[in-house]
Amino acid sequence: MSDHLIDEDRTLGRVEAVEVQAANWILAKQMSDAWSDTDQSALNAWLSESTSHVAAYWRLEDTWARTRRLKALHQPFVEPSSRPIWQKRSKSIGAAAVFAIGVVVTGSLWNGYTHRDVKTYSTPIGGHLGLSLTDGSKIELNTDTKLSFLTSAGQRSANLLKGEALFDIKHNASVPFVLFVGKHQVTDLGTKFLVRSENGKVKVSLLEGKARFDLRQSDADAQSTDLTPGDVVVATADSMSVSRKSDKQLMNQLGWRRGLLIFENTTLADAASELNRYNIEKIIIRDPAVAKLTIGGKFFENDVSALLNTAQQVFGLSVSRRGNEILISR
Amino acid sequence: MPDISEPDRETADTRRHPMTSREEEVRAWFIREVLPLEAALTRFLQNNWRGQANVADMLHDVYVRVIDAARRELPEATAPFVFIAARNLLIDRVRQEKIVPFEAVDNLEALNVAADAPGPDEQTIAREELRRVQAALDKLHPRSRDALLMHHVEGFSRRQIAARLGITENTVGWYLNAGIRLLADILHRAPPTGGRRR
Repeated sequence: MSDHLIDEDRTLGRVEAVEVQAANWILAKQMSDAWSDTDQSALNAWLSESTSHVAAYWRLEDTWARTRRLKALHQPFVEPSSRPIWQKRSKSIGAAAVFAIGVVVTGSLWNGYTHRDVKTYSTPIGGHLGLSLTDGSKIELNTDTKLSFLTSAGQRSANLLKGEALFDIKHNASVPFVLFVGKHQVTDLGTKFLVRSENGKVKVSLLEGKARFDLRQSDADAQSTDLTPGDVVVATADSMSVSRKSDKQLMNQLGWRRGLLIFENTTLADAASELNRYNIEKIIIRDPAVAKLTIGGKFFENDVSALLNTAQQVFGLSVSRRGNEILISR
Repeated sequence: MPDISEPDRETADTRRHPMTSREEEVRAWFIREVLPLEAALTRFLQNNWRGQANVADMLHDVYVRVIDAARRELPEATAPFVFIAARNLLIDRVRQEKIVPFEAVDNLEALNVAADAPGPDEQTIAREELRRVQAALDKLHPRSRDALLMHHVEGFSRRQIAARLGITENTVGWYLNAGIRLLADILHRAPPTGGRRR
């Protein structure tokens, strides 16, 4: 028994032969994803052949159960305590300000034997949450965002359910980080990237490093694109376009990290819809001519009144409120 | 059955394929009370056996006898029951092999069978157990160890382990098989106090 490598040519001892069989049964059963009643019947039949089989099986079964303690060694991808490293409180008026800005929900899935921890992080409107992962990666969630992690299974993966997040991923060639967004996936090849998911549209901006974007039209048909810094992919369920942005444009997209929205030749409609992401109050523009006006400058994301002032003072537009709706019109 | 707090597969299986309650009782008793005696039992056999059959085989035969007897009736006190079964087995073997003087097997009292002292608390046991399993793993072939760790810690399937180690699934099966069997020897035969194997 001291020779733990199975040498096919060596004749196994009487008991050793039984133990090899017992171990095979245990491994088959414990590692199988689809242990059927038929399998179980076959095992039962083998066990009922002799007490020798039973003795070896029970002993190894106990051994296997003890090795399950090793699960405790699992270093979750995200800190187990999963305290956000920091979080910012929204200054926007309304209920959002009352909530803690980052919400963590944990749960578990059982997938065969694999215990997977699912941790979900979410931010309300106006929220901003920083996460520091055990592997050194950092993730920031922007307003109204939901991101869940699947740990274990030797994978680093997350699922952006909605909203926008910036990923600064420590590269590990053997365990790539995979982000799922809808049906699409982004695989990091050592990367800093920004992902935004909104109304079925996914936008991925690569800031540093390399990443691969897979557009999933169907399970069989995936279209893969390697991204280099400055590339911005916009994908819908079945189409994808890649454009390049300047460093400045990319940085402007990250204004939210400092609580800023940076506009440059931005239409009033776009500016309003950006602000609306961060605030309970929603700006509404119905007039197409008003919508097309363009503005520039920095706005605090939680300061709706600054944009309204611009509209009134620069463009001479009128502003009227009804509940949480703010209408800008001529 | 360990880890009952977790919805593990075994409990689910027991529901699906109920063992007879008697057999389940014997199994639970065997794991709870007999297996912890393995270190002492191995020492006992080593000290009292000069025959040809190897000690691991004899140990297995003791288990077979003990399980068969327990199916008829669970003993009041496990340790004496197991050691008497071991002694009887030795006596039978001595007769068969006609080599060892009889008195060699007559010092049952000399055995230091651990008394049922109150144990440490659950958490300490769990930590100690984890350390033991880890220490035991270090004695395995590196590939057996890696395969077991990948499965238990990372949740890898056999196929994933094969891909990661760059070997076939069959070979992974061998490493796992050998690993789990050697682990059984190390874990069960090391004295519970965390001393050395054998």
